[in-house]
Amino acid sequence: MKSILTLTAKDLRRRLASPAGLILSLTIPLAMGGMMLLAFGRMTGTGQRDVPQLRLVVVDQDESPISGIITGATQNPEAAERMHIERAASREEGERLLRDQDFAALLIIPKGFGEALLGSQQVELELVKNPAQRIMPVAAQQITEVMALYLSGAARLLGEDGLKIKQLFEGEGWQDTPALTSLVTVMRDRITSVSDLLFPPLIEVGTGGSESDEGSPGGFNFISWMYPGMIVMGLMFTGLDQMKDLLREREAGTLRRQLAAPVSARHVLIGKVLSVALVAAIAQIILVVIGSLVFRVSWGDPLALAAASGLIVLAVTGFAALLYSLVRTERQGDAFGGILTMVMAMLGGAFVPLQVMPEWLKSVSQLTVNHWCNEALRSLTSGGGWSEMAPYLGVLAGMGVVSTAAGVLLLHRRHMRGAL
Amino acid sequence: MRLGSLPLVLSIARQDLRLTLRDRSSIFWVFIAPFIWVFLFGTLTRPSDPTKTRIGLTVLQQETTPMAERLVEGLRAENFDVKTIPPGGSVPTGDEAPARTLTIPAGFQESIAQRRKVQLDLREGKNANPEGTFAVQVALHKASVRLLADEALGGFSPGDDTVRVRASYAGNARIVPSGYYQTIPGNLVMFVLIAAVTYGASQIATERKNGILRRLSAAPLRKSELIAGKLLGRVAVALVQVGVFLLIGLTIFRISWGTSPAGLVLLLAAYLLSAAAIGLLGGTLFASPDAASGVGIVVVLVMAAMGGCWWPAEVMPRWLQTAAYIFPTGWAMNGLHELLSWGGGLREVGLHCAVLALFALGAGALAAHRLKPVA
Repeated sequence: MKSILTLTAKDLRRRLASPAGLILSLTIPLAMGGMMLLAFGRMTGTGQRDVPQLRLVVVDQDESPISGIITGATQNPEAAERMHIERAASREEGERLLRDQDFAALLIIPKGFGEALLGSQQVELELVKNPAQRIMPVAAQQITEVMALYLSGAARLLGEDGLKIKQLFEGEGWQDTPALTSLVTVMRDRITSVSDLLFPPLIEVGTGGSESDEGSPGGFNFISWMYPGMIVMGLMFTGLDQMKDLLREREAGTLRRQLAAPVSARHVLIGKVLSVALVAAIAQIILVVIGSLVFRVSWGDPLALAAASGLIVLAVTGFAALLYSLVRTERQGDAFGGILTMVMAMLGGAFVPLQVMPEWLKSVSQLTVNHWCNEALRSLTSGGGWSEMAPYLGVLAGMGVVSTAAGVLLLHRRHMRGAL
Repeated sequence: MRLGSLPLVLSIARQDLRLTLRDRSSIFWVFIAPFIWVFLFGTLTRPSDPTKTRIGLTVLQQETTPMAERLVEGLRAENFDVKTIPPGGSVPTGDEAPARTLTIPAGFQESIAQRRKVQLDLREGKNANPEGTFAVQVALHKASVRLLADEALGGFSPGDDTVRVRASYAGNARIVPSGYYQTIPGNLVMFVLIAAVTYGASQIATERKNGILRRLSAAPLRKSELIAGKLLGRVAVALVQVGVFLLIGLTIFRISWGTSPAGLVLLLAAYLLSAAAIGLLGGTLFASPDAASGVGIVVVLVMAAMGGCWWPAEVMPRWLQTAAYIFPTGWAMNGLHELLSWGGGLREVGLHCAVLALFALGAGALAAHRLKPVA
């Protein structure tokens, strides 16, 4: 035992003396996570997604006070934060802006819009969506439809009196004080009769959070979901990069020379694999700390996190040992390791939630180490505890023990054959 | 470049192509991995326009009054796949848990009749599609306003709406970049650059380290001709890669590459040149092949994400969308959207080609300046 610890400590010192490989292994997932955070996290400090600003071009061919309500929608500070409206003089200019400046959609308010609305005649708003965008044009359509609904409601509320208001907009009828007073009274009564239902709407929609996150406001937290996948990918890269050292030692002949020392070959290999596990554990600690400080991930119960981390490190080390017991050269290890890491990350749900995968892919996903590692960590970041994590830990322990034991045995056999 | 040295230049390029195609791992990364990515991400991000597809919504009705039923009907009219759970029922959990659950509380109708505020509870399931949830929120708002207006004004059905919205897509092609139309262009742009920067850069670094570049410099070639040969080698690899992408896109994934073959060829040619030049530059910046490919992959991943290869650029903050144009990936993706989504032609991608050619010139000139055959 003492000899194994001595070998492990020596190996660990050597590995940490040249940390370039470790740094690079961690940089790739951190760079990917950082980009996702920039794109979707919006640095809100909570990891919650923020809706991107909707950019709309409006061509007001009507130029009436009614169309002015639409074009001036962003005078409301809350609306201005969510939406940017750019006015264009003509349809051609609007289409040019839509294409060249990546607006989501072009809204055209036709001539006679206000007059038709006040006259309760059907009228159409035209929305031209940007075909090079997928999400925001759809949002623009939905918001325009809501606006159309409100305007239809307003037209209905005005009824035939809309024409009188239209005359007032045109500057007529201001001298007829009795008629004006009567109109104001009628309007006030109508608005009062519906105000308790509609201003503001009596029905409110509360978003209580995710099903798995009872009582926690805001629901699904993208960063907390995404970061575990990145961590596991980083650990896989780390484990493989560190295990590659075995083949480098074979090239240098240092492994064979160690056979002359008064330690068994098995002890040497166990020491090597243990030192890889320790580097992976250091990587795990670094990634967890970065997750807390930079990505604001909440890891829940520290003991549960420690248990999950330990088993993830075991599983990752086992995977790396098994792979390097099967490949012959460093180049093969690089190739197969890189390929398997990326494919398993993808299938294991690092980039895409399992829920959106077809059933057959979900089954394939369960064959990957990443799946169980990701789910164990995600159960913690979504507020779960030991009970939610237990099934994942059980599988990880099994996978880790079997793959590490198999890897060490196979490596030992190769070593004794002189192939290592 | 002298005409007489052309065979030598081509020979260097041919040798580079041969070396890359002989390497089994490069075969995977160049020709197999991109299509696994395309297939998986393309399948998982297939078109999900909520105005065209039916989004799942489970409604837990704690009362079945006429008003609650009208609200449910209003949601059905918004094209949702609505499943209702009657009073006393419970929402499935675990794997059967719905993506979104709306609860209509007991006393809903009574509250409205007495003009008291009433709150509907919308819960998003774990990992629910956010676009779908946004659509549900908007539709729920519409359905509840319509219900209240109906109550206040006495009849307010969609057929009576004074204002309607006619929506259409601009451009000639009108193909929205979702599913394979996002993943194929995105992966083409990313994997061409990955191959150029990782294999290209590490190959140059390896050849310098092994003294191959020094030996090549003894050939009757100018330095610019050596650079041209190396550049052509990277372009040849990328050309094969792009050819496979175009072919597989057409035959297996059945996407349209737009209506302007000339525009597409010119845009891709300009992009290949810029990717090859960046790969060459990478090889001159690092002494070790591992560092060249390791740092290269990180740089490419950042460029790909910012350029809109991973997700639609529109979801990123505005400043990040603008910053994407610092990289060739941003110009290439925008150019491909011009051709595929807008149905544009040579004129529309002229600027993109010019900027990409400038990237190629700049990176190529810098690589030529830095390239030293001796390690």
